[in-house]
Amino acid sequence: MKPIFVLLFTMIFFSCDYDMDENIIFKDLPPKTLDAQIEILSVLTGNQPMNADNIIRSRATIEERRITVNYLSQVLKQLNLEPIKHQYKEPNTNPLIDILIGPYKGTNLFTILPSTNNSNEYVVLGAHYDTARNCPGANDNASSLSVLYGVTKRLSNVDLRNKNILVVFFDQEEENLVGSKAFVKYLLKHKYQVHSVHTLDQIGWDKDGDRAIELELPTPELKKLYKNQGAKLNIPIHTTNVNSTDHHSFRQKGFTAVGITEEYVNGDTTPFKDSKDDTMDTIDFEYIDSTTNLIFEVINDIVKSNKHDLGQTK
Amino acid sequence: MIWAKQNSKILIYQIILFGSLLLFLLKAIQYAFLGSYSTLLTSIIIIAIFYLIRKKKNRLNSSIKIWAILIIAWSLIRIFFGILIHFVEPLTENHLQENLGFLGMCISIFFLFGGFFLLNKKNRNNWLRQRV
Ligand SMILES: [Zn+2]
Repeated sequence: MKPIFVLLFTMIFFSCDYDMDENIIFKDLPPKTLDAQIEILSVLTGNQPMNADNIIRSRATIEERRITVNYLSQVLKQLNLEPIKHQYKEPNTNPLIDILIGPYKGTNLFTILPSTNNSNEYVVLGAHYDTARNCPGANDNASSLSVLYGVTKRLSNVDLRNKNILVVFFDQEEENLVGSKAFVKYLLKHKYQVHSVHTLDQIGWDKDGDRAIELELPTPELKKLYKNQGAKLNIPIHTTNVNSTDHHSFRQKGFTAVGITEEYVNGDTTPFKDSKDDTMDTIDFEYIDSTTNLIFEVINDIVKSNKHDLGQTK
Repeated sequence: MIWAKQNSKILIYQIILFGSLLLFLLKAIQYAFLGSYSTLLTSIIIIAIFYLIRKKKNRLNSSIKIWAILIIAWSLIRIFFGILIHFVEPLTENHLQENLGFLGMCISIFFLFGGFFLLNKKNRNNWLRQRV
C-alpha cells in the first residue's frame, strides 16, 4: 500500500499551480492617450520588450499569456486601477476529449472603475488578449486592448458615473470563447447586476478611411445609443449578425450584449487575421483614436444616465 | 537475487495497475468539480468492476487485459494527435498544443510502456499468481 501513497502525494504535488510574480520592468506610459495606446500595441506585438528579458511574438502559449496578463496588470495599475485575476478551468466540449486531455486553463484579467455614487450596476467592457499561435495579433486583438485603455483612461477622468464600469481582458477567445464563457459564469455566480456588455474584437484596419464600425447583434436600444454618438462624431455605424466572438457568450446567458469591430462584413478588414503578418504596421491609429472617442462617448452616455432599463441578468 | 528481481517486478506491476486506475479517478474527480460528471461515472464503474472480481483469477486476468489495451489505445490516440498538430493547420489550437506538446508526449509514451507492461502475459501471470 505504501507505494500508492507516495504516488498519490507526487500527483497532488505536481497538480498544484504556482503563480510566480513576474519581474516586470515597467516604465510609465506616455501621458498622451494616443501615444500610450501606440506603446501598448507595440509592446503587445513584440516590437518592444514586455519585461526585462521577454519579447513575446504571440500571446498563445500558457507562458506567453501569463506574461501578457502581468503586463496588462501593470497597464491597469498606471490608471490607478486594481487588476484582478480570474483564473478558471473549463471542461472540454466533449467528455471523450476530457478523458484524453486536460481541461482548458486560463486567466481573465479585470478591473472595476467604481461609480461615483455607490451604484451596484455594472457596464462591462471587454476584449480578448490571446492570439492564434505564431501570430503577433496586432489587429486581433491588441487593437481592442489599446482602445479599451483609452476609453478606460477617459472614463476615469469624468466627474459623474452613475454605474460601475468593469473592464475585462479575456483569455482563450481563439478557442471556442472559453475565457468569456468562464467569465460569464463568474458574473452570474457573484450576482453582478449588469446593465450591458460591450466587447471589442479587431478594430485596427480602415483602408477606406471612413472610420466606420460594425455593431454585432445590438439590441435596438444599444443601436440607438451608438447611432446617436456616431452621428455626432461623423462615424458611420453599420449593424451585422456576426456572433463568432466574445459578446456571444454573454447573450447566450441572457445579458444585453453587443460586439464592436471594424468593417468585417463590409470587407474593409485585415487580410492578415491569425497569421504572422498581423503586425503593428497594419494598424491605423487614427482609426484607433476615432473608435476610442466613439466608445467613450457611448459608455459615458450610459453611465451618466440614471436609466436602468437596458439590460438585466437572467 | 532472481527472487528479489521478480519481487520488484511484481511491485512495479502493482504500482502501474493501481496507479493508472487512481490517476483516472483523480482526473474524473477534477472534471466532476468542473461540472462534467460522465468521466467520474465511467471511472467508478471500472474501479467497481475491478473490486468485485478481485478474487476471481480468470476474470481479473481478462479485465486487466482490457484495461491495458485501453491504456495503450489512449496513449496511441494522444501520440497520433500530438504528431498531427504539427502538420494540420486547423488543429493548431493552443489547448491541444499545451496538452499534447513535449510534456504531453512524454506522458503518452510513459503510459504506452505502462500499458504494454500490464498487457505482457508473463508479468500479468506473475502478479496474479501472488495476488489471487
Ligand atoms: Zn479576435
